[in-house]
Amino acid sequence: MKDVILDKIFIEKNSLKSKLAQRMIQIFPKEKVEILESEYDLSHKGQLSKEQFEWSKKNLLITEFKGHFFKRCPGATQKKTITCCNYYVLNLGSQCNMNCSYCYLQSYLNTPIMKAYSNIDKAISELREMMIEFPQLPYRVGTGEVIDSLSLDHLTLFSRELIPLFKEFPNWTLEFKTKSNRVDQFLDLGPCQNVLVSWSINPPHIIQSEEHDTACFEERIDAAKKCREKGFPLSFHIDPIIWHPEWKENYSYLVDEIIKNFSPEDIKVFSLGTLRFQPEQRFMMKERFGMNSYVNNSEMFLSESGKMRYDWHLRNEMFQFVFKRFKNHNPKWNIFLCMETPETWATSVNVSPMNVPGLKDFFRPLPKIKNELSEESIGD
Amino acid sequence: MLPRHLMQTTELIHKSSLKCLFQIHPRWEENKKPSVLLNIAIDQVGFTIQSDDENYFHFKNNPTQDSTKNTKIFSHFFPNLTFVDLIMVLEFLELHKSVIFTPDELFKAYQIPFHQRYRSLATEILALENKNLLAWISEKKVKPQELIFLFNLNSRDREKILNVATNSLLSKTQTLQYMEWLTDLQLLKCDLNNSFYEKVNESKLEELKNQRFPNSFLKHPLLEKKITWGNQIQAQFVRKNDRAGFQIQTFVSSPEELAKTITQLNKSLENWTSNPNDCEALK
Repeated sequence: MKDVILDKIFIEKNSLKSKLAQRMIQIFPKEKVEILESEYDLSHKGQLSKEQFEWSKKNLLITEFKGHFFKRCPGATQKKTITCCNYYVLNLGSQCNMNCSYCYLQSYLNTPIMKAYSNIDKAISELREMMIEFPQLPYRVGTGEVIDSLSLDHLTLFSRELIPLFKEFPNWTLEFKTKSNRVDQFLDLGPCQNVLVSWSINPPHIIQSEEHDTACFEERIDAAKKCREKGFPLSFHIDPIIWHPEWKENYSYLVDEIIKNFSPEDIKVFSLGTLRFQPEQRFMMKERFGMNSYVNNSEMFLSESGKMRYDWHLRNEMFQFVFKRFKNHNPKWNIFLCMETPETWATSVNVSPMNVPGLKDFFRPLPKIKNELSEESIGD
Repeated sequence: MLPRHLMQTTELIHKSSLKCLFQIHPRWEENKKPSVLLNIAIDQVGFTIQSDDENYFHFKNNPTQDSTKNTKIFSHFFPNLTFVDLIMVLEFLELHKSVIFTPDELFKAYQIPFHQRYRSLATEILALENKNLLAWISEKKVKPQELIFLFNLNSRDREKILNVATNSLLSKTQTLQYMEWLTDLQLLKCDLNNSFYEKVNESKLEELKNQRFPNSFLKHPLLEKKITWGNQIQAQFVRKNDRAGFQIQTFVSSPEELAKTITQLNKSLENWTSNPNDCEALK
């Protein structure tokens, strides 16, 4: 995997004394680091242009986060149309230094710079408060919603703050979701059965054509093996499954390689998802990656959830294909569908998640967290 | 910096004292045409709305006044301006160093986000001097965000695609979809027949769609199943969003007819499920 290339690191003055800022000053040459006397202007409105989006991937702002670090995954807001798994997110930054053609950040983000938050201690307190209130409940918390969990972690070392916290509350699960191979910086903190290290993964052909600047297939597999050896449970997200003429051969290869290298006991859960994106995202994708990219080539349809998706029959075929290939090898592989309708669950995998022992807990209703409750009362 | 004596608030002035530098002739919808207002003129210090007599309402620029108010008043009298018109207004203001509106506020008043790209697109459109195109943009209330797909083209190809709009017999949504598919095929360097740039109708839309998505709709696995439905049932293959399927209709006026229909439907079901591997059809 290539080194992280940053043109500039901006540090707001009130973040200067933070561990994160000090680390950046140590790692990067002086000419790359700029201390800001006042807050960076984030007043940009509306969608970013191609040039702004690409600039934002190469420039990092160290700043304090003023909102709630800990909240429900946005998929949960579409509960009327999709089956949601109660995932929570902890946002320790935003934007990603890698470059996947289908990335939803292209339509989701409107801040013109990559951010890493210097006040992680506030995030830790927010989490700890919830954990003390509900220590027995199986909350699952991911750090990879609007940023890759680990692609910058060798610089930020956030993993080294979070893993010890989750060790104190073994019923809560922390998930790092990544397309990098950056795991060396926390391996010594293992074993830890409730810190899940997961990879979004695709066949080598798709990684090469659509997931630019990410770790290659073998690098992700090797990193997963390292984590397994140090006692971290693993997860894979085959998401998005992208249609292309040789999709069956390529996804067969992917499944077979995973089966060859890992057992169902190593992989706590798999999720599958097919390509999906907000309709307006197609313009940015076409502009940045051209018409030869598979994500721009295929016919997509506006679904009930408001996202562009493949035809329902094609989705089912893809899910069934991957699902069956795993299950024919060993019925113990735990697989679920991400952001899909109940009808797709029924047709593709012939089961509802509430009826699968290994998945039931994911979909069981959990008490709302503090900021969900306060947002609800504002809405009343 | 404007002279202080010109920094006044709204007043009534006689038309003889008005030096009109620029006029926009508004496009009023017939049933919304106001009885009083006829024209609007922007001058260096503000803008003037002509009434039906010799007097004018003159809104002068005041740097202490919120320029958002100016845009609200302006958009109230001119609700139907297109993004092309707005760019013309901005260019005029810049030329005469007037600060009565900012681009962001002016566009916001028309619920359009301002972006420099829209400006260059509008300038290009104006340079084409194609009245039919401007009329299409105005009648269909086309917003610049709806034309974003054109930015990937060079200006020559962009002109070709824009001209397609003036030859279209389709609705606005269909026309924009047609233009987008044409753009995609252009970017894919497909050799396109000139007829795609000429008269645009439903059959041309379908033809273009098949060019753009050769693995599409007509080869849907459900169609390959050749399900028989029986005489009582009308079945039509339709698409609803991301799902394609059969819309079935029947008419029953007695329990016997209903039973007959159900028997036929059961036969159709057997027909449907007799080929277990519908995945093969997608090759």
